[in-house]
Amino acid sequence: MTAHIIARRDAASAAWFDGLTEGLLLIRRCDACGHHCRPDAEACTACESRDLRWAETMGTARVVAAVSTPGEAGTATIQALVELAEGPWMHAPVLGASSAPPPGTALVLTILRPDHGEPFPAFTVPA
Amino acid sequence: MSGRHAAIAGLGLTEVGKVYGRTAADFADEAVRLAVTDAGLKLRDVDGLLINAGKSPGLDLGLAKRLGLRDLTLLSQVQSFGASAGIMVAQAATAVLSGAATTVVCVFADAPLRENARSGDAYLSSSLAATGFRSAETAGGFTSVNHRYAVAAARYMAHYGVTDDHLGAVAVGQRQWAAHNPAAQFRKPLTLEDYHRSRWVVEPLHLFDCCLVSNGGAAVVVTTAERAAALPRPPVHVWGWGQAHPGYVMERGSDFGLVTGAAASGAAAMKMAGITPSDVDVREIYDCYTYTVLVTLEDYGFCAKGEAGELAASGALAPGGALPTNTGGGQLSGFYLWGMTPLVEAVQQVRGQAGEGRQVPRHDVALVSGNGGVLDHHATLVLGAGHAS
Ligand SMILES: [Zn+2]
Repeated sequence: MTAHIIARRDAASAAWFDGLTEGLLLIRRCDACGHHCRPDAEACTACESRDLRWAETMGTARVVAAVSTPGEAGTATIQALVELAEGPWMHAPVLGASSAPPPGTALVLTILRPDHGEPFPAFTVPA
Repeated sequence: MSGRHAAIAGLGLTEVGKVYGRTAADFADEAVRLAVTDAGLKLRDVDGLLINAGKSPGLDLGLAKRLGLRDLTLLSQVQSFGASAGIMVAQAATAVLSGAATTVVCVFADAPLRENARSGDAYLSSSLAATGFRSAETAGGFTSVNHRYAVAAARYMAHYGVTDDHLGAVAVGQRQWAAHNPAAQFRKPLTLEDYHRSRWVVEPLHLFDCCLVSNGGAAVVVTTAERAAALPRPPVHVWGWGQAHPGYVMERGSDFGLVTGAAASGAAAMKMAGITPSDVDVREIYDCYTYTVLVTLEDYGFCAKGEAGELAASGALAPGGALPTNTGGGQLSGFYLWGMTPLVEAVQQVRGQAGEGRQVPRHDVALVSGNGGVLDHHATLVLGAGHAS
């Protein structure tokens, strides 16, 4: 979340960033078998079909593993590998936690909209 | 393996560390010359060259011309990152056994460090230039490979109850080995207290959980065992090799962080060599992080899953321990030349020429690991002093 690091769209990710702009976290759903894949999947990881379509997520996830990065003056930011309720994993920040939450911790999606660059997904630990 | 063998007959290691004013190609050139001389050969005897370039530009097939090599029957660049050294030796062994070449030099060199720049910067720039899906992750704080390994380590530690005392024991033990390695960059004793006091890079990884960064080069000469027997150095036979590229699908059910390519590549290499983990005298494990030492030892079968942390804490991996591991200090305390770091030390150990305080008493069989990407690529070599049974 360093200020000068921004998310930049390319041709493959344009529709995904458009989704985030509209408040949606999209993943790929296989038309052939219904399996949910990561947004960057080119083919279904279950059946190899290339008939993938954008699908909305529920916006809930769990921590697979979380880490903490020291920042200025004793602050820290939390990053995690998270498992979306639909199954795909993502690397994303966890907001509002003072230390790395343990595996299995429930998370909800929040979309960050920095002044520069594209919006990107983050997660929070619900109160 | 029965029948013909390949063997490592020459070893070249340049000055390593904060060595400035030289390019990767300069280091590679010197490493090749050193290895060929060490083997008692001339450059004109070389008919194969395999090159693994690191982060810095300029090392490519042009090295052959620069060295004046002519009439090569094998010339290629290999890139599987930290697994490359093991893969080059395996390809060289295959070439000399098939007759495609007789004398193949495998070389790695890199010069990522610049004077007056922080070591960490050497590996930072590429992830910050990300675009597309990946750039959402870097914007979200996954700005370096350290973050991705920290996540793997965190998952492994939580799953198996491995603590930072366990990781620290790896760092402390390897520093004890490094004290006896003249090529090591960090030789000052390190205590567990020093380890705990060191800053977090990305928690759970302390500074001393992470490998250092080095400029330098290393090369080995691979030929047939018959030919190596007639050369001056004790031959280091290449008994077995294996690769594994797990292609982790990052979704529910993945064992990313828990099981690595060492499981498959180690089993393949040991099967080819006709050995089991109990036959191995010395382990040179790819240690970009303390965590990878623990998970790799488990995946190779030196202990059950989740037990390597206790093994490290018991002192088994350190000097005087039952399972000597990373006897040159590894990449954590020695030097960082990707997969050449464990290979260089293994060759010295199997030769019995690692030196005072470092040479392990039994050194007939060495296991060498290489790991590239974020657990994406794995290579294993089994090296032996005598002929395989
Ligand atoms: Zn499918």
